[in-house]
Amino acid sequence: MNLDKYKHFTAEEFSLDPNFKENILRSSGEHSSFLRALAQRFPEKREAITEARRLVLQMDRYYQEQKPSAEEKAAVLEEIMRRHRTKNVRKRRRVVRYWPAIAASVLALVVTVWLFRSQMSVGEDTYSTSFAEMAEYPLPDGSLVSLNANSRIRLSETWEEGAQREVWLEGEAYFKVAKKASGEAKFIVHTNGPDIEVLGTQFNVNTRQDRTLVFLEEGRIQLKNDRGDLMKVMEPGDLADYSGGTADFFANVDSGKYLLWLKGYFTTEDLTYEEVIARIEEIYGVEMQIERPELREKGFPSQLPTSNLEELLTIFENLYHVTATIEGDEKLRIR
Amino acid sequence: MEHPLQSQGRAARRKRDQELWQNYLERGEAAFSELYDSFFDRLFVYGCNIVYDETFVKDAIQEIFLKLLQRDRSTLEIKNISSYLFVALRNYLRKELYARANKRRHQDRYLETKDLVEEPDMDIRTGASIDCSEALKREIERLPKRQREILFLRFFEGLDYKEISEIMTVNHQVVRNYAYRGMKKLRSNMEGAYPLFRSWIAVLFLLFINVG
Repeated sequence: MNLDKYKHFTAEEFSLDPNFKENILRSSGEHSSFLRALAQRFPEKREAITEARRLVLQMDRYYQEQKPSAEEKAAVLEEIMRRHRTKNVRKRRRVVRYWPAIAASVLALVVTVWLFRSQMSVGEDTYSTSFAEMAEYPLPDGSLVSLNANSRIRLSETWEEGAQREVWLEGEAYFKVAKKASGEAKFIVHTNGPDIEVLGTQFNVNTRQDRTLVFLEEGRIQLKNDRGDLMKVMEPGDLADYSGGTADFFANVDSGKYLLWLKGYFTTEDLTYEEVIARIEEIYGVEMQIERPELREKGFPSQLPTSNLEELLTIFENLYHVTATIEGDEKLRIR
Repeated sequence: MEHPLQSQGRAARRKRDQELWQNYLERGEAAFSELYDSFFDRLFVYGCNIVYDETFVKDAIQEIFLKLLQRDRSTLEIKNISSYLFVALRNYLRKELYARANKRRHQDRYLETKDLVEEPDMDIRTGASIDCSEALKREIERLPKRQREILFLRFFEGLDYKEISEIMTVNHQVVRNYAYRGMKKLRSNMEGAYPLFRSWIAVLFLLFINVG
């Protein structure tokens, strides 16, 4: 067997390797030619191998202990067959009756896909997050992008050494751009508002609602309007608030507020009542239905969770003494 | 020790899954229980690594198998039955969790939120008599949801990162990172717990490698 791939393995990687695992479990304490070969080939890895072996044995035991009993297994099968037999009688008629509905949903699907595609072509080079989800993706040049909930980023096709690196963003993202030696290797973030040109830096871009907020944490970036004219070279701590072709700039702003979402929260401080509601709707993919007008006067707490719907509902309930529920998956109702 | 599930390697298991599925497509109900037999345990353990409610998981498995059984076999286009079943279970659990989060929010918070609830922090260092696997269990249950799920699919099912990324609709690089991070967390937490045990085992094992 070719062992080359194990050359740089750590204990974690060994224990995650299916081949390694299978060998450990099959030999169970006895001599394993695979392990011996591994230890001989990479003497410096013996400790890692030992530790990985221990992890594998324990993890396997953990999963084995979770397995259900034979009785449970049989009981579920029996129930499936019983229900199958009783339902079987009506099956055929039902399919026919629902034909129009089926046709309609197929149509709906096509339309949705089309709408989605027309906004931004979705291929292998597109990363996206759904509602209440955050994710971090490495880019081909070694840069890192953290995507906030309900956001999409599309990458340009070329990422070779020295080539211009370009991404298109919808939603909100935080970038840690890998610095390149040659001044040619620009990193550009396109939005539906301004374009941001970068040379090795960490910054946040938020394109939600009609404004685009750009916050620079480290390094330098150039902000260009949608006609490509340079608006400003931003310094660390600068915030640009861009809308309708113009931008307001603020220096030394509090980074905590703009990077809060990386911790799973967003700030309501600069948002109006309607904007907070729009934000919640956007993040969780729900429509808010508020039947308690006093909420407007009381205002929102300064931070709300971006990836925990349950926590959000609990906050509403505890803060305003209301009942907050999700109805039909898509409506957040407060009464 | 015999591991009924792990005794076959993943290649063999994959082949067997495929055969069972072909069999079902050809023979229908008569071949259903064999298919069910081969998947029930795996789906059950998978489900239990997503939610902490065995009854809920069993109900979910019942639903997805029933649905499969009631579909017209001639129109089924399932290339990979294990992926299909894992995805079906996953989607079902998630959908139900969402609905339940509303209804039951006040009664039981154990669903879905287990990794948010701080457990009383027992000092595992002093509990020399605690079983190792108990400690591991606790560590696994403390992992973020997705890491737990990925570890199961990778470790127990032996899927490759691409397959996992398709099941969970997460980028495969992220899957890889999560798996690594999860394992790292388990390892470092376990390490602190049993320094003595660890060195003892290490010596034994090194001996056995050298002798062998």
